[in-house]
Amino acid sequence: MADVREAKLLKASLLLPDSMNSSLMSEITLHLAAEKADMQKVGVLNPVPEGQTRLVLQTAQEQKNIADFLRQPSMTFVADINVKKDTLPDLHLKGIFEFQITLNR
Amino acid sequence: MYMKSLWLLCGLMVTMMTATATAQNNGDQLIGLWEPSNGKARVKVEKIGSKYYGKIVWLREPIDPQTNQPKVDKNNPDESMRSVPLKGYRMLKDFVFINGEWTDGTIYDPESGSTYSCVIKAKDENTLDIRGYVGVKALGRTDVWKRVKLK
Repeated sequence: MADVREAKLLKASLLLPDSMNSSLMSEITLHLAAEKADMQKVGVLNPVPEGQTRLVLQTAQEQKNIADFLRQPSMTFVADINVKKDTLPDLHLKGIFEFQITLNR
Repeated sequence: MYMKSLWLLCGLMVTMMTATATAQNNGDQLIGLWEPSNGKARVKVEKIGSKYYGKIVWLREPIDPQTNQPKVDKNNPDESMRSVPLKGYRMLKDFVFINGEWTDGTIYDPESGSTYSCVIKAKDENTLDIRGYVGVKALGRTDVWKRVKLK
């Protein structure tokens, strides 16, 4: 997406598998990372509400150069999850992310 | 003469490949659990893509005495991110391994809410010199971090 001029992450949700809920989690922080862009914190959920399988994060008001991530061949969503007990099995999450993107004409 | 040159070229290529592999291995030396000199926290360094990042995984005093709650990033300039917990905080970001040191990264001081440019050098496999600076490297402060060995 080389034509991206500006971008902002508007919404970020994490979906847990049906077999588990959020009760073992205490806080979540979401970052974007990419090869040629500086890692940026874009979302947080503190505290994590109990008994949920869909977690809606608060997105950062100040987001700088998000377009840089979208111009890369790939980028990584990094979710740092603090757990209440260190007993979580391997965790497979799905993410739904909504960006507002302005393209160059 | 031609054969000799070819062998020399092959020899050079093998040397270069070995050097590259060694450099990558040395870069991964940063991966692990580290403790700053003040002993207030422990930072786990990991690699995402080709860059190195470190997050706080342990705090000596995890509870904020003012709120009686786990410490959060209350000094973050972005008000919307002040509820980010310090445990799990990515205080080292975007380091690349070049010429024997980890550079181009930043270090965040949660006590002041300030971010500094940073360069990391290994004194030995269990000791790091971490230099945070503003603008030029001469204007900064170096802290010594020790590797934490899990029993």
